[in-house]
Amino acid sequence: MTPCKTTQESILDWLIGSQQEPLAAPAQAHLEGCACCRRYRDGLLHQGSELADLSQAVDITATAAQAKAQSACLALSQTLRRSESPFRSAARSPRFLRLAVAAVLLLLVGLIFVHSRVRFSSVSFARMQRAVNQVPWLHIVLKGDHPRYMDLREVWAGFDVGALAAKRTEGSIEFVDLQLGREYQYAPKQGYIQVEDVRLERFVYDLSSPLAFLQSVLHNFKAEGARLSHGSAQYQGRVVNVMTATYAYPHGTCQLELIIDPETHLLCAGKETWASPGRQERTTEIEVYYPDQGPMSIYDLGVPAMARVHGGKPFSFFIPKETQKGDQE
Amino acid sequence: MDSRSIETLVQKARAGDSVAYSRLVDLFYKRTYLLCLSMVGQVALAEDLAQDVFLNGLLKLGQLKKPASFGAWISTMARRLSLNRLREQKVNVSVDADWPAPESREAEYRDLRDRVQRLPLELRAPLMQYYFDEQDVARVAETLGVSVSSAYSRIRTATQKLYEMYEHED
Repeated sequence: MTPCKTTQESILDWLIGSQQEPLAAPAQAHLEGCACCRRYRDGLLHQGSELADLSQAVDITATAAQAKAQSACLALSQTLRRSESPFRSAARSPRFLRLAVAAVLLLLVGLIFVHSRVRFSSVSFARMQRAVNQVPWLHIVLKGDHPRYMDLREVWAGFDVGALAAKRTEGSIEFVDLQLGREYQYAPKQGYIQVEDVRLERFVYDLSSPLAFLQSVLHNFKAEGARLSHGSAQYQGRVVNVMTATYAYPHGTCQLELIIDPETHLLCAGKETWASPGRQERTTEIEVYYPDQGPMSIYDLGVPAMARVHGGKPFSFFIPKETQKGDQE
Repeated sequence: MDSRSIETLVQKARAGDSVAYSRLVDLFYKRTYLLCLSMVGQVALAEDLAQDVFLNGLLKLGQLKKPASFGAWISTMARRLSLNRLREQKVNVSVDADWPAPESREAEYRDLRDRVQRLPLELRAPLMQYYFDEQDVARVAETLGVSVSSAYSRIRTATQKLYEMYEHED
């Protein structure tokens, strides 16, 4: 390698490395006597200086662009935090793994349930697990298509107070007070309340307990010609009993499925499926709640306080007491 | 800033701390922007790309295995995004470059810019990273995803080539 070439290599290394250190002594010595290498050194220093100047112009654009990028990132970060905060906070929680496992299990159970084409509304198992005798009220809400002759919307059964109430689609309301032996019926079209003394009638539903009530419901279905069957299914991660009543109605058949908790024998949920030839199948979902309080009179169900009271005939909740013996057999 | 501090910032950003991520943008923006600019040559495109890089980085922060390697990770993303954009838009870097020159002696600096743009990418990128940022060879190596010796060698060659172009034109 020529002395010039060696020196220029040293100059390049010096330039890119630490320029605070002096150039190597042999190169320094060569530079003093070589105009070509001095020109090379000065040219590189000038080039470096120009590049530094050029970088300042680039810096100006970079600084402005950086501010924009930071704003964009901040906005995205806030959006992410808003949209994902439950998951993010859960992920940071030590309980995340357990929750995730529980979620996966519930999902699997849900998939099994959907796959078996049975969907029911949710119900609190904690409340359902209370002792049967401690359940004061049962509240059933029916959601979905209702054939005209089966127009129940809501039902309350008060086991401690011996009361049964029902709301129907066209606003008619019924309330039975077994302690007083009175049945009240209200229809908005009529605008008055029919009251009947039912002390000499037998109530077809047993309100002594939730289990007795359920049994009486199924018993009445059977008495009306329904075919009863039972089985088991997965519901909300546990095996439950399913009571099925299949019966005819004027335009086809209806299948009522009731989900029963196997431990408490409490009704959890249900579903009615209405099928008639040439028509689309309709379903009614049955949601079940166990509130601490319920309606204590027909007025608690929304009947106007000024509604007039008339005498009337007992509704279908009652049958003459003389048939009681035969039914029980 | 040391790797421990960067790791802490990444962990905070992962936990949803937007200030921590903003600090990371502060630390790594310039080198990312320069990398994009060296690859695509156009200021507006480089700005878009650098912003996309950091937005993508925020979205994919959970995928970063070594938080201390945030700089290398973000640079890899910048290289990949820039290459994709070059392919999509068919930009001719040596012809279409528009990055600014100082207003004084603009013509002279435009010549220098054009010479830089005529360097092949593997020399242009390290040269710009080195001279336009903090003249730190290790940092250039991290940004380009190469060894320090390789980065040094490329900066050296680029400097020499640039000078030769200047000499040749004179």
